[in-house]
Amino acid sequence: MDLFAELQSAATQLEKVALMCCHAPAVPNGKKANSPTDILRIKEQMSNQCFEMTVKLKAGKSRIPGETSDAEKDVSECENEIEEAKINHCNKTLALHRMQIWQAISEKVKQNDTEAGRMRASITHTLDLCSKIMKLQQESRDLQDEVTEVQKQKLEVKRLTHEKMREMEELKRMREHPEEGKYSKVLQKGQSVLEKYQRMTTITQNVLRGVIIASRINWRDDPKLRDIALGLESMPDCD
Amino acid sequence: MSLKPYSKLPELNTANVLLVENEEEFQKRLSEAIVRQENSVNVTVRLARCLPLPVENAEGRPRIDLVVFIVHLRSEQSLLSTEASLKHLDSGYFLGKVCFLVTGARSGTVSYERLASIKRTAASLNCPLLMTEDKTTEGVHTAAQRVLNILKVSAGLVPMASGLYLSTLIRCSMPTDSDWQNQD
Amino acid sequence: MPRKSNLSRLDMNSSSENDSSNSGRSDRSLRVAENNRKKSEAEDPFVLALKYFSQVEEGTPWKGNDVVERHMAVVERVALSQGLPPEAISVLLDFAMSLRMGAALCVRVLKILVPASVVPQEAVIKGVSWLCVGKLPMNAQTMFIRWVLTVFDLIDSKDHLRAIYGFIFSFVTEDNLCPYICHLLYLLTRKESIRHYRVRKLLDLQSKMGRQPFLMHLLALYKVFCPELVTLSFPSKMKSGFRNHNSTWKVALSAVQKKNKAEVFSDIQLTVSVKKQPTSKKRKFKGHLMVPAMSSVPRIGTSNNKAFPLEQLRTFSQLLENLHRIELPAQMGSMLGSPLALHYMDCVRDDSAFLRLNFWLGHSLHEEFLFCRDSDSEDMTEAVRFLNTLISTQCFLQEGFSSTEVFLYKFLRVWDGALLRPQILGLLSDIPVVPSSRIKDLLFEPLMQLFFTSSLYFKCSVIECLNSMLLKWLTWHSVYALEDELDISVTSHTPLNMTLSGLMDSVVQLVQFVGRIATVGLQLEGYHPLLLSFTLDFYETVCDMYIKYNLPLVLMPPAGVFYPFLLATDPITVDRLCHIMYRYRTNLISAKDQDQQTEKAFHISRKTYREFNQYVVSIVSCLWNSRVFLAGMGIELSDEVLAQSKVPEYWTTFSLIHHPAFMGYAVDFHQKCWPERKKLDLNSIRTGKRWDWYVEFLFSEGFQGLKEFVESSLNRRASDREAGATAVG
Repeated sequence: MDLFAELQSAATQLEKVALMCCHAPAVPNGKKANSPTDILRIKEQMSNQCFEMTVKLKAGKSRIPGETSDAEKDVSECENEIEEAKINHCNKTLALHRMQIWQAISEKVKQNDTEAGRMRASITHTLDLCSKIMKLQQESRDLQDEVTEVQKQKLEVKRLTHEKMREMEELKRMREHPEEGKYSKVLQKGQSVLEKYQRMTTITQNVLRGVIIASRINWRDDPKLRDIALGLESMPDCD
Repeated sequence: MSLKPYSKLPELNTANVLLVENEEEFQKRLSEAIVRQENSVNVTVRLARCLPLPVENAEGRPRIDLVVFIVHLRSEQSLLSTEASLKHLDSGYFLGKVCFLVTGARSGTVSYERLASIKRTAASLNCPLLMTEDKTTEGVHTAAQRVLNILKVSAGLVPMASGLYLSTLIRCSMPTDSDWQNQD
Repeated sequence: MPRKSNLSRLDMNSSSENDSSNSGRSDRSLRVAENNRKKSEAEDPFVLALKYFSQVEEGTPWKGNDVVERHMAVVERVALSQGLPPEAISVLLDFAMSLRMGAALCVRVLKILVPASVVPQEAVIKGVSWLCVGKLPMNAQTMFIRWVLTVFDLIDSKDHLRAIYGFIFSFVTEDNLCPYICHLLYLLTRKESIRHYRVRKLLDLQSKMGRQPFLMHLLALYKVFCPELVTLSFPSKMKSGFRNHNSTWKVALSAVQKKNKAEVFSDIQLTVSVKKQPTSKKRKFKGHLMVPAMSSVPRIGTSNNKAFPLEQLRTFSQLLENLHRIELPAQMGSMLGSPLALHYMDCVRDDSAFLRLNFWLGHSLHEEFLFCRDSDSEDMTEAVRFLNTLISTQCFLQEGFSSTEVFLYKFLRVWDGALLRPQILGLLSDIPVVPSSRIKDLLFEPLMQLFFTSSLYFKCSVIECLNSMLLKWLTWHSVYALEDELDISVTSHTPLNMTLSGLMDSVVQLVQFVGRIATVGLQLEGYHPLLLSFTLDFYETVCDMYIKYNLPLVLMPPAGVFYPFLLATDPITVDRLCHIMYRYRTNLISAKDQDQQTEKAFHISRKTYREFNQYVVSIVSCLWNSRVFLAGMGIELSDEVLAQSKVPEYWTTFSLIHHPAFMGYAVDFHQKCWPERKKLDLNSIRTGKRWDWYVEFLFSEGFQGLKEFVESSLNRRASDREAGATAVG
C-alpha cells in the first residue's frame, strides 16, 4: 500500500500538467479568482447541474405507472446503448484533448529557453525509464510464461497420478482376491450368513442400549454397566 | 419541507455531503476521516440525526450533493429512523445523490431480515448500499474513501461522469440469497 | 503468584508422565514441583473449592448459601483468567450434570467451563451418561452438547466417545438438541458407526423436519461411507450446515489459550532439556482460527492393524510406501499444515477426506468471518496467517475448495473492499469455473459495486485477480479437456463436469465483464497508466487463449479500452497493444487453418474478424498514415470540430512522430540526426529515407511489439510513405 501511495504521488506529480489541462479537478487554493481554469470548471459544474435538472424534468414527464419486467428489459438495453455512445464520446474527447495538449507541449519544446531545456532533460530521463521498464516487462512476461508452463505440467502430472492410482486399486483388488470368480458362490453364501448374524448382533446391541436408556440410570457409575455400554458399538472382527 | 437538490447553485471545487445517523456514534468519526482524506476538493460534511432538517438554517445551508444514510443493523431503531427520513427527500436526490452505509453485516448477532429489508429499500430506490467495518480505523478510512468517490461524482466534479450514471452501475440489487436464513 | 506457577506445573506433570527419558535435572525439578504442589494445596482456595464441589451432598440448598457462593467465585475467577486444569473440568462437569445443587448452578458452572489445556474424555462420557438419566432441563442439555462441540479438539482422546455413538445418537429425536447432536455425530462418524436403522431414523427425521442442512450434512457423510444405504441425492453445493455453537465460550477460551500459549513458550525456553513430547501436547493450545494439530482417529475393535496414521509420516518415501493404507487424522483441518498430507491429498481421490475437510473449512471460515461476534478486534494477524495457509494449500493442489467458494460468495456481499483484501482476492482467483447462468449474481454484481466505489488500487487488484482466475481456468482446460468429448472434468473429487460450451460461455462472460468494468473504470480514473497496465495484462492472457491453452475462442477488446491504449501517453502501452494485436493475428490465422483442416466446427464469427481488421486499420492509419479522424476509424471527427481545436496539421498528430507516446523518441532521433541544428523540426523526419531510419531506431530502442506488428500486419509501399494493413478473414 505504501508503495502504491508513493507511486501515486509520483504519478500525480508527473501527470499534473497533462491531467490539469485535460479534464481533471484542479487543485483549489488557487487564490487567483476568476482564473481561466476556474471559469471553465464552474462552467462544467453548472452544466452538470443543468443536465441533471433536465433529466429530472424529463423523468417526471414520461413516468409510466406500474413497471413491468418488459420495462426492466428495455432499461438494460437502453443502458447498453448509452454506454456505447458514452464510450464513443469519451474516446473522441480523449483524442481531442491529447492532441491539443501535445501540440502545446511540442510548441514549448521547440522554443530554446530554459523551460524547454528542462523539458528535454525530462524527456531523456523518461526514455531511460522506458527502456528499463521494457526490460523488466520482458523478464516478467518470460517468468509468467514459465510459471504457466510449470502449472500446466504439474496439473498434467496430477491427472496422470489419478489414473495410475485407479489402475493400482484395480490391481490390488485383483491380487487380494485372485480367485474371486472360482468360489464366488461359497463366498457369497458365507458372506450372507455372516451378515445375517451381524445384523442380529447390532439389533441386540441396539435393544440392549434402548433398555439402558429407558431405565434412565447413570450407566457410567457402575463399572460393569459401563463396560457393556462401551462395547455396544463394536463388532467381532470379521477378518 | 423536503430537502431539494437543485434549489442552490454549485460552488467552485466544492462538494457537500450530509451524513444522517440516528445514533450519532459513527458519523463523527466518518466525517473526520472524510475531511482528512480529501485535499483536491473543498469538502464540507454536515451531520444530522434525521430528516427533515430544521427550516431556520435552510438559508445558509449549501447545496447538498450527496445524502448518506448510516444504518446500524444492530438496532431496529436505526432502520426505522432511516425509513422515516427518506420521506423527506426530494425525488431528485434519487437520481444518484443518495447512498446507504450499512454497519455490522458480518456480525452474527444481527438478523438476516433486517439486512434484507434495508437492501430491499435501497434496491427499490435504485441507490447504492455500501458495507462498512465501523469498528476499525482501516474500516472507517475505507468507508470515507468510498463515500468521497461517490460524492465527487455526484457533485459534478469528475469529468465524463454523473451521479445518475454511477448509480446505475453500483445500485443495490434485490436480495435473493436465501442461504443466510438458515443461520442463527 | 504461587497459584499460576502451580497450575502450569500440573500440566507439565500430566503431559510428561509417560516420558521415560527425562533427564535427571528435570526429574528433580518435577519432584520439587510436586512438593510445592502438596504444600500449597492445603491452603489453596481453588483446591478447597474443587474439594467442596466433588464432595457436596445432594440436595444441599444453594439459595443463600454463602459457602457455595464463595467457592463459585474462586472457580469462576480461575476459569476466566487461566482456564481450568483437566481434573477440575472432571469435578465440575460431574457436579453440574448430576444436578446435585439444582439446575441453576448447573448452567452457571457449564458457562465457565473453560479448559486450560485438555479435556479428559472420561469427563465427557460421564456427562453423556448423566444426560441419559434424563433429569436435566432442556437448556442445560443443549448447553452441554454445545460445550462438547466447542472443546471437541481439546478432548484428549475420542475412542470411548465413539464407543457410545449409539447413546449420543439416541438424542437426535429431541428437536432442540438435534442440530448439535448431528454436528457432534458428524465429527465422530466412521464407516463402522453407520447402521441401517440409523439411516432410517435420520430419513424419518428429515421427512418430519424438512431438508434441514444439519441432517443433510450428516446423511451426506453417511452416503460417502455407505453409498448403498443412502440413496438420497444431494445438491453439489449444500448450505453451510451446522448452527453456531461456541458463542458462550469463544471469547474466554481464545483469551485463555492465547495467554497459555505465551506461558508455554516461556516454559519451553526455561526447560530446554525436557523432551519434545510436552511441546507437541501444548501445540493443542491453539486459537480458534488455527490449523489444528494432527492426531488420528484412534480405532478400537475392528481396527485393521495395517493402517498407517498420516501424522506419523516423516518422509516422502514413507508416503509412497504406505500410500494404500494411510489413515486420515481425526481433525481434517490439520492436513492444511502438513506438506506430506497435501501430497497425499493431491494424489488420492478420497471423497470422504475432501468432504470432511470442506466441512471443517466451511465451518471455520463462516464462524470467523461472517458470524463473528467480536468483530471489533483490530488484530488480524491470526486471520491473515490462516487465510495465507489456505491460499498456499489451494495453490499447491491447484484447485479451490468448494467451501471456500461458498464462503467467498457470501463474503463478497458484506465486504467493504478493504478487510483482508490481498487474502480475499487471492482466494477469489482460485475459484473453479462458475457456470455462466450464475456468474453474474454470484460474482459480477457484488464486484461491480465494490469496483466502482473503491480506489484506483482496488480497481487494479480486481483486474489482476480476474486475470489470474482466467489463467487458472484456462490451465485446467488445457490439461483436463478430453479430446474426443470436448468436455472437462475440473476436479477429481467433486465431479463438476462442464461441457466445452459451458466453459466457453463462462469465459466469454468473464472477458466481457472485465472489458466493461475496465472501460468505465478508465473513464472514471482519467485513463490512469496503472489501470491501463493491469488491463493490458488481462488482454495478454485473452489474446492467446487458443494457441497457449487450446480454447477455441478469440475475443477482441471493446473500443472503450482499445482506443485509450492506442492514444496512451506512454510508449510502453502502445507497444504492448501492438504485441497483443500481433498475438491476436497469430491466433486467428492458426484458428483459420484448423478450421479448414478439420470439420470439427471451431467457427470464429465474421464479427470477430471485422473487429480485428478494423483495429489493425485504426493502428496503421493512426501511427503511419495520419488518417486517424477519417470515417470508419472509430474516432471519426468532423472537420469543423477539428478546425475548432486550432491544432495545425491535426491529421498528423498521432503519427509515430507526433504521438504523445513517441514524441520523446522523435525529439531524441532529431537530435541524433542533426546535432548541430538549433531549431527543432520534427516534420523533417517524415522526408526521404529518414522515416525508415526512424522506425528502425524505434525497434532498436526495444519496441518488440511494434516490430512484430509491422512485420506481420503492414505492407509498406516504399514509394509513397503509405502503409496498408494486412487483413485476416
